[in-house]
Amino acid sequence: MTDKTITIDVNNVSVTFKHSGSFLSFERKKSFNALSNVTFSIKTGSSVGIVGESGSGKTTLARTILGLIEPSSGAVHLPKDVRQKEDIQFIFQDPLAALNPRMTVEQLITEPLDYLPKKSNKKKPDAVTSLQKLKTMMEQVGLDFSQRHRYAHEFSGGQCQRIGIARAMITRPKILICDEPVSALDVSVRAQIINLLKDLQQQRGLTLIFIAHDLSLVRYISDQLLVLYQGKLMEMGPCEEIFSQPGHPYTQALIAAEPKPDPHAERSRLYTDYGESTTGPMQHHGCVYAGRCAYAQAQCYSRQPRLTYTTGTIQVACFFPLEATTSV
Amino acid sequence: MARLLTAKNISVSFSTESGVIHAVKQVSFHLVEGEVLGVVGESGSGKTQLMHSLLQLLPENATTCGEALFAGKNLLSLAKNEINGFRSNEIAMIFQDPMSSLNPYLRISTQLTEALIQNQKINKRQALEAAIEMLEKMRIPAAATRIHAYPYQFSGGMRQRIMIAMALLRKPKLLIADEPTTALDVTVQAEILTLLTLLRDEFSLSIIFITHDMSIVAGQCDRVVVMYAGRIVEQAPVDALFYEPGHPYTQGLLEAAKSQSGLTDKLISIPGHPPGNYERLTGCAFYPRCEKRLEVCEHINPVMKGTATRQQACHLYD
Repeated sequence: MTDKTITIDVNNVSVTFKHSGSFLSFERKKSFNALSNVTFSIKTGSSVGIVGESGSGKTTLARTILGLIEPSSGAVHLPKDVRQKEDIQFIFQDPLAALNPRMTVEQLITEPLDYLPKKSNKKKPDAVTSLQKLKTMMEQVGLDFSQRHRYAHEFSGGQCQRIGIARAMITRPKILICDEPVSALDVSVRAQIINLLKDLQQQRGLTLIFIAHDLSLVRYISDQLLVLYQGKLMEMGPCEEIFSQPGHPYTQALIAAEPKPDPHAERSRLYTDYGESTTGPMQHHGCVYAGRCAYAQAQCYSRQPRLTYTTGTIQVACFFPLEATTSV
Repeated sequence: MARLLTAKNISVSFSTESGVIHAVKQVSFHLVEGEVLGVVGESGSGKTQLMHSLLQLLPENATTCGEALFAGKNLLSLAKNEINGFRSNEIAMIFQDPMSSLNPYLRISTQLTEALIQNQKINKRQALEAAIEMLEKMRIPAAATRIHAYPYQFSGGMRQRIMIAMALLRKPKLLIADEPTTALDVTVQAEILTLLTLLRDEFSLSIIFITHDMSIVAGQCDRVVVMYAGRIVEQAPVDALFYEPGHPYTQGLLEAAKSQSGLTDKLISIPGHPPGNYERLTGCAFYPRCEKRLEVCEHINPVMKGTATRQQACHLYD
């Protein structure tokens, strides 16, 4: 790695899950490609959105970066000063499920400090510093310090997610991975959490990976966008540009399928059959999206498209990327 | 049009070890035949408890009072064997997570025909034929063979189609859909919503659509009821509600929804958080979060006021 500004370099990563079939059946051993040949890099201090439907491999990708899953081929390169254990933290989808119900807020938030590796230059702080850290952290995420002896169930979903964020941030990580951090929250508080993450990112120069199953909130937090479908990168580029001009038919479908809070617009909406995402074995060797794609042609079923630049900044894996006239 | 359902002053409370939770407080609403009514509210607003109370699906520690008139009977006071006649025959319900509503050990065919055979009037073969026909109406490809598969062999969207098929088999008049697309991907969600629109005409259904998503309400509903902290704060025809929202909470919800759909430059939220289950409220429950609050709001809970078609519970309109 010569470029110093690159934080995470994901190089041709594939993850294959094997499952051995039933004990009694004569089925052949099957394997499932959760990720295939994913390559991208993330710059320090930037915010990357990973979008895909269920089964697209977005969580597998995050876990691979975190080091929880070993890639079957390819590698994830982190800069030398980043240690997976202490410098990457994770925020989960369901805030209440991610917090131990028997621990107080104080215990929950300061717990990660007990597990800092011994060799690390970040040593476990003494009780006074620890409490001071807790106070700063709670204030920063918008929690009341006087509530530190309460338990997670006494808080609302949004507040629980704040506890989760404080818990992740207390070790001062360099990279924060948020796996659908607001999907389980009420509409009225989602924006609060997104804005909090955005502020923390800017204040601390964090590198943020934001995973979502739809595009609605990603645009507010991400500079770069990756669109995954069945383990493959479909489109990648600056978030704003992809929104105004999606190049891949799948990205277009994702944007178009999103309902809008406007009765007139919704009633005149032309419904399209988007087809179902299938996780079963593919019948052809072509593009994974071909079966659902409205623009698919013979070529799409025989060969796999590679990610290629359609504009100066956007890469699309499609033989027939959408032109300005055909996009929504 | 005749009224299909009239609910008057329904209250639901739960007695727990740490005290009584008032989940639904004095809620009144009605449903006209053929109408799609949206019930919008965030988690804890009581929308699901209210609907469960109509079919007596609440757990044992729940107390329900009030009245829900459906076909001349008060659903809330019916005996167990009587309410069973209403469930699925008259009123059917579909839930958020289709996987946890289906039995993973039984074939779809068994689960679909169960209720039909219970009815005694038809045999197994006829029931199976009816079930296949219904699955075809749900646009499930190769229904005649796939009906013998197990739930895990279907995708989330297909499972929800199976749930809808199961709900409609007994030709109910009213379908209560409790967040039917929340667990689904956006593209699949769009398909299920289209399907529901088509089925509404085909089966001349009335639908109560429970959701937290304003965008879904916009496309699906004729009229909307907005709930907050166990009470209805506003009810209005869908256009009126979206283009001239009355209650500050509705306004906030709409602003938040619009900003999340990218219709505004800034991401908007309602400050604060909803009240907890045990919090005792004297005034308006939305008071601590409201930007337009008056002095009176802290002490006196506003009642629903307005015209015949739209009302709101807010002191701004006194």
